[in-house]
Amino acid sequence: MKRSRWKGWGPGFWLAVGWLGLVVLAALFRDLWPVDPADQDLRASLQPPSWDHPLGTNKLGQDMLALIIDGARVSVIVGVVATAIGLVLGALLGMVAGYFRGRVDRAVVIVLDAAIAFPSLVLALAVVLYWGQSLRNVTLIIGVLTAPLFARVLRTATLTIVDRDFVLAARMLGARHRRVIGTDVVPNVVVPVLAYGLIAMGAVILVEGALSYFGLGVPEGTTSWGRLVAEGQVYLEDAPWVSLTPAAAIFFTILALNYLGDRVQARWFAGGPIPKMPKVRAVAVSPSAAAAVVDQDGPLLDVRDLVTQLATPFGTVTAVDGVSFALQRGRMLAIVGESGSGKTMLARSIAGLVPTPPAVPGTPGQVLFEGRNLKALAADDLRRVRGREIAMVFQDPMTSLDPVMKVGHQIAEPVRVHLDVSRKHARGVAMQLLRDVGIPDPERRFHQYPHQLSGGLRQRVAIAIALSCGPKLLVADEPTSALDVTVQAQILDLLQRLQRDRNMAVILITHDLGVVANRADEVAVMYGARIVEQAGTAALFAAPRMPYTAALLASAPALGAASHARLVAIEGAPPSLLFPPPGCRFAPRCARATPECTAAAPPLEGDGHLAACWHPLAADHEAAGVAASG
Amino acid sequence: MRWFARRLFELAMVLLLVTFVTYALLDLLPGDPALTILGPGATPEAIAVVRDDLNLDAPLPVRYLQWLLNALQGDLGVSYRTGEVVSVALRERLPVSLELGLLAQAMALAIAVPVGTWAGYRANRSFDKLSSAGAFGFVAMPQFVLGIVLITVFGVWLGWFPVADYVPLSESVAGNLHAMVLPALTLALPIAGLYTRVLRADVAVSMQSDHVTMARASGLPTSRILTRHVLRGSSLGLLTIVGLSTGTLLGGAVVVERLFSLPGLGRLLFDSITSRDFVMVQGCVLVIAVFFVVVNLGVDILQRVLDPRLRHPVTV
Repeated sequence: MKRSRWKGWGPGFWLAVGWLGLVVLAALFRDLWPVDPADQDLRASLQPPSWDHPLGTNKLGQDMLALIIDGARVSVIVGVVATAIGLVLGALLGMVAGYFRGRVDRAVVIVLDAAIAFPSLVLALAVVLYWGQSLRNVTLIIGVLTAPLFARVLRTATLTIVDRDFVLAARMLGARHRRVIGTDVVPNVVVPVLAYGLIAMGAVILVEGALSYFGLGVPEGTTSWGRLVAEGQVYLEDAPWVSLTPAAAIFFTILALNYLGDRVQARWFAGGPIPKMPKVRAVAVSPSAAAAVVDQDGPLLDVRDLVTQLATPFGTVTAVDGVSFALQRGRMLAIVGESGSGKTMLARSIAGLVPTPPAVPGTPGQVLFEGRNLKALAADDLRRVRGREIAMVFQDPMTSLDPVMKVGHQIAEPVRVHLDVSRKHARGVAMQLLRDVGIPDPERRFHQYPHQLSGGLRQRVAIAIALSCGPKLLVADEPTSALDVTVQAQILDLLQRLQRDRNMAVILITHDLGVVANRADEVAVMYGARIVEQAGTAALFAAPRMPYTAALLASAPALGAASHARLVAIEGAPPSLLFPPPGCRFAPRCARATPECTAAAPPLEGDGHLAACWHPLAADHEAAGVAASG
Repeated sequence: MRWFARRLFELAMVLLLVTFVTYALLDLLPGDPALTILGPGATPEAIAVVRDDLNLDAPLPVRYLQWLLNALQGDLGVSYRTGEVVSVALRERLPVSLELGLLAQAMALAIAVPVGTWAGYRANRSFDKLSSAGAFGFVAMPQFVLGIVLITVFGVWLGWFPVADYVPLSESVAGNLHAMVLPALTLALPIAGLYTRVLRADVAVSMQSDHVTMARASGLPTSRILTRHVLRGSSLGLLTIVGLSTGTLLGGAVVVERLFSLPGLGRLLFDSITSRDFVMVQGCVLVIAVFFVVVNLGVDILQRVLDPRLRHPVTV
């Protein structure tokens, strides 16, 4: 698989590498070039580009291409050496500051600030005036000037690394500072520094160009790109190539370095080559379905053969594979499954919240909400349904609230947008909602920001936002998984109370069967992107038919069970949605599986209690006994 | 308030460090200020008088302290070269550089905010790719190259803008702005490229965040999500970069001021160093450093005003 290391970088990368290679070659072997840059020919003064002089000639009739090749050496030497000087100085300063923190850090930051506030020109000129103009001095100054920038980058990188557990552990165990920095910190900052080094090298070449342009860089007689630009500037009107060709050489070199730095960084953070995303064709959606008559008598939500596919760099993932179910007004349906079973994608697909791309457009299925097919609605019509009629609560209240907006305003915002009421009215609604979701002291909380609230309070705020426009359906995606156990029950009780008080339908998505038992009217079990069993809560708990459901029940710790009661783990791993196993997706992990199971997928069928299984468990199976205690 | 006091202390230290290093550096340079003042034909007696006048034989820390005490009272000395009062010369030059810098920042933000936001919102689409390429290009463009290109195209070929023909603001506002367009643009484009890249990355990450999904689930319109929920957070990251860039603007405009013959601070600094007018250099450095420090403090304060997480520490 040696080829794969070179794949995925794209043509831009190789173009940049190629250009830099040419520059380095020119610097190393400039003497081998057949045209001598020193050759003057006053008869061929200021010639435009031609066959003899591909980039034209200057005032003295010197060949521009030969001069540019000649000037590459200064750029390469200054670029490499000055960057190295800056890196070493900056690394020392930055890592010491980031590692020791406190006073050391503060002192270093003051020095760095001073270095940046200090006009670099003063230093450059001072050195040139005192020690004279030479390549060595120019390289030295630029190196010193670059150091603070490296120090900043390394300080930040070190600060984040030092916080990680393994470094803390090493220090706790009494490792010497030098050792911790050498073995734990250095290897972890190498790549960001490498990426930054490439970008800094571009900046260094830029500064050298500017100094030479002012006649303060390399001494007279040494060819450098910046000097060539300055010399040619006089003839800008009549012979622009004299100035613009060396300018282009500087430009392309810096561009190549910046681009490489950026790519190295991106690749590092992505943890490997980034494959090209497949092209996704958009399918036009006719908005005509929006006009369909609202159906008041049927189920509130009727999902039919819903399919959601995601285009990933590794292939198409079918995250929701032909799911159908119906939900009546005011009822609570629990969707249960392991992580990766597709339950979150199902929730987001219902609300049309999976962006395209990565979603593959035009997948089959209908989401009928009061008879209207949400999948066929125009984006703006769908937006009016979201928040107003279907609302969502997400898993992690730490991240699902806007950190820089007062919570009261976050609750009032959808009210203002959807219901077109005055600011004052929306405020009143928000205040009432804060009370409804059981937040004490709502007047004070209204003006607070999310970070000032506890996890439980934040989830109450998220619920208040969801309820703000009085939705008919609330989709709660693992609303308690990120919360303390003691708070979980409170939030679930709140959801249940709101459901009853407001006659609101709820889809509760969870991986925890224990959460479901006394609350949901109905339970659907998801496995491998499909619903494998669906029944009334009591019936499902009493007599699961699908072996997976039985195993799930057996693996859930029952609240009333003795602490030494055995938990049964399900053998094997959940199926890959990228390459799902054939037939019944649970078959590879199922004790009852027969060749029939892998031949064809079982249909989801039954009378009121639906199960997708070729060998369903009998009603009196022992699994029922385990579940009954829960 | 403790934060504020500490910050003030740090910034004062920065100022002391910058001015002292400048003073020491200039002192190292060859050349006798007395000779600069009197010219090459000066008699040794005259030189001795001037040296005594300027207290040049005192040790370096003593002279620095003296300069500092005078500076604190607003006395920055008299130019060795022209005999101008330094503070007066600075007051003349500062507005030119300040106007140039602020114009450039305004232009850079006017370009970067809409472009960066839209590119981040539609990440990896064609607009994003196009603007990224443009941003890369401008970041890689040396100011003297960009300036030359702009002068050639808009000044010489098209003749839309005057070249190297500064009009003071007091003479004609329109004429002044007309003359400032190209220099400000030369400064602004590379900065705009940098801002665009920073903002685009921040917005693209924000678009993936949970609270934006939440806002979409609440059915908020895209324009509102972008302005209220994405830009509000992303502006904090941009602010740091804008602050840093603004702070170094006065000292960093030397190239452009020379290229377009603007009588700004950068050119005064350049001319003063090359003619060894150390008192003037010291004054320029002081103004540049004070500006950096003030902008830095301003950004810190603004950040606290805009970011509630800094303003209200956790009090659950």
